[in-house]
Amino acid sequence: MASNTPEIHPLAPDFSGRDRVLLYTRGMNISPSRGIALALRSMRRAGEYAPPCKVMEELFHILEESDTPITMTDTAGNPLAATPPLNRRVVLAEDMVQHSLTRALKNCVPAMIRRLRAKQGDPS
Amino acid sequence: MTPPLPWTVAGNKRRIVLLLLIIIPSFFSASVMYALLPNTTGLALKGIVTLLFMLLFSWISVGFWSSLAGLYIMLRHVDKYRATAGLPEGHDLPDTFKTALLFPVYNEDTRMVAEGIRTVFSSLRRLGLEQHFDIFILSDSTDPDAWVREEEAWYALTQEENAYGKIFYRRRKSNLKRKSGNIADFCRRWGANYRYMIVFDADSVMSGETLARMVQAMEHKPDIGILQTPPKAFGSRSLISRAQQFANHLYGPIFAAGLHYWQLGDAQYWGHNAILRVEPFMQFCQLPSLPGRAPLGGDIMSHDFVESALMRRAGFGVWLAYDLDGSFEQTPPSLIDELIRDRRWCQGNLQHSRIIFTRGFFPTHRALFINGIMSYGSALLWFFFLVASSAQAMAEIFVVPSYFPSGPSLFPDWPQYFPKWALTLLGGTGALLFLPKILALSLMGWKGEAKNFGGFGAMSASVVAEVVISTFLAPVRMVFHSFFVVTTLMGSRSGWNAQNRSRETSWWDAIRFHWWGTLLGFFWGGLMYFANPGFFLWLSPIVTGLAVSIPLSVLSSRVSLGNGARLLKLFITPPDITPPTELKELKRTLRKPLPPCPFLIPREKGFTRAVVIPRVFSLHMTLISNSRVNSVQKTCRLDSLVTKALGHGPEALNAAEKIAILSDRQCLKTLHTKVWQLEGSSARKWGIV
Repeated sequence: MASNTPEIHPLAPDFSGRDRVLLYTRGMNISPSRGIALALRSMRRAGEYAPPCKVMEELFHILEESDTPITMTDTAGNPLAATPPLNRRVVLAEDMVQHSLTRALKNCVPAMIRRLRAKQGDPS
Repeated sequence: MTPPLPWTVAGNKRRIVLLLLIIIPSFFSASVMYALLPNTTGLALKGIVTLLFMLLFSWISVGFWSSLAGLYIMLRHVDKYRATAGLPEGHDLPDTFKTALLFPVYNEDTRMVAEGIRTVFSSLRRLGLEQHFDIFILSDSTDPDAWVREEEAWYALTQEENAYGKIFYRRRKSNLKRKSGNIADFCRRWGANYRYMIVFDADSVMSGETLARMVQAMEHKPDIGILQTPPKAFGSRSLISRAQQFANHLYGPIFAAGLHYWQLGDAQYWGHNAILRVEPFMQFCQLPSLPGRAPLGGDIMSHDFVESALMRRAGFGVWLAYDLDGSFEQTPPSLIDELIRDRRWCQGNLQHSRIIFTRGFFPTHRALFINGIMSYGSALLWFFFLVASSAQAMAEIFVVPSYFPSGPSLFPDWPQYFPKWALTLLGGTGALLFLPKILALSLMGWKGEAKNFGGFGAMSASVVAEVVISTFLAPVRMVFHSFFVVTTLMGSRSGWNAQNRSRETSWWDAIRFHWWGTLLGFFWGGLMYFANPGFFLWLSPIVTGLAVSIPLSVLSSRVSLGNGARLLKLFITPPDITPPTELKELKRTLRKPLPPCPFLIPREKGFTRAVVIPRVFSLHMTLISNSRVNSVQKTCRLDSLVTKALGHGPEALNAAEKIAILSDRQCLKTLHTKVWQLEGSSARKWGIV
């Protein structure tokens, strides 16, 4: 069967476990040397040519044993916070009582007269 | 009773003048129209046509007189009621408080939003003002991929700009009350930390200098509750958006100055590119849900108009800073996107019919609610007017005129035509529509700013081209707006979709959207052509626009045509000639390639990235907080989702399932661990090769 992928010799050693663990550690938010060290440790534990699932299982064990936090931290070592500390206040919806149309029209003229008087300084 | 503020007296006088300027000419033109219409078709139809004409004439008069008032202000150069009058030189701000810059986002193009924020932040940093502002990305995103993209973008921004503790990100689990609820949620959590907040749109950008001037204006005048800037369009590429950007830059400043002339401290808040005084906003401007169900009940959609009315009711002014530059926004890239947005705005504005008579609102704000309703209602009136006019034209053909009245009479009743009156009316209506454009053109020429529009010749040609495009698009907008009004009143509600800000319209989309408008155009035009060819000529601009709406919609969305127009020096705007630093920087950063990533998972696949890429997984785990212990049912459900995801890959999960996984730390951790232990094709489904 024709295939575009290069043929791999059946007796060639399987590096997929190594590639998988290296890919994972490259994607971690840690220094490169620490990443390589972690990959090396997990490969040693799982075996040089172990399949990816085995190597990754060992890597996760090592991460748990070494208490490597899953979460990210800031420069001071505190967990990264995307928001400032809460400063809660109560916010209530405004009262929006409606005038009926007839009432609004009825009130319109007296209200205008009141405003005009107020502008002219009439206290009544 | 407190004495009225000085501007309220001037405002009342100006509004009375405006009312007279609208009412008197409208009555006069309606009487001319009535005299021009033949008597043969009955008084009822004649009366309806005249009444509709009067309403429409009044409506277009508002824009006309606003433009004239704007021209008056801009020529006079002195405006004692300017919101920014009397501000100190420079952009120094007090150290005693901070201002929050809010970017509400909803399933947006994350890169565009992030680069916009970077631009604003860099602009502030250049002026040494960044310590006076905190930036909040307030997400209401419901798309799991967008959620993770936003987190990644926030993290990258804080790292690259060294802005940790200055740029914040918060995603709401519930989208209660949409954008207004999003802002209210911010106020509830952190509003007390800030004296002012400046609200942005997802695609808007403002310069640091403008932000500083806004804060200074609020400090200088403590009676201002909301200060709105007039945003200028930028970044348009398609033909329609280029034309709109040109119109916005040429006619916009005069119109904004005119609005300020009438409104003064009773202006409107447009929902973004505005600064708000936080304390009164929290105390007096929170919106209730309207009684009843959507579309006219429920959450208030066009919240901004209502918030400005509430702020005014609380005794604070709402001002339009028409003279502030450095405020930008983007326009929809196509007619369809514009209409989708209008559908939402139409529902929001019609909802205002429920709150016009709210106790304590000022008359100007009640009038502005009516104005908002008329923005879409006028389309229906125009449609009715055209239908009634067509009916009148048809009746002229089929109804036999009666020249001899039934009663005793010395003379026959001959139909009379007044061509001079007809031409005067046509000329008057034309002047209302086109004179503001000519005045804006003349003003720019007179001020020597034509070079910013490609020169006076190019600017004039662009005005002609813009008028042609608007003329063809106007009937399409009319039928759609009429449809929106009718369907909203009949109970149909619009959804809340993310806005498209870049896509061109495909032929298939155009056919799907415009087929009925096209049929209407052909049917209406054909009917009039055969029944009354004389009237068909009058109607032809309308029916032609409708008949060609499919190609019009597609071609006007084309970026190539927008570029072509630019090569011909059409629709050139000041940002094209001398782009402000902020827009130049935004363009540069948007072109910058993204940093390489060892994983072959595209950035759009946010969910997959959060499950697979250790750094993104860690970031997401850090930012979500669910400390509750899950119920047995929920645990079972999440377990089954993990099994499904492992067996069939991320594509097998729907958005709700992805959100459920992303929201649960334990579930996500389990999936992450197991995905990395998959082999062969199962691993490839997750992008692990």
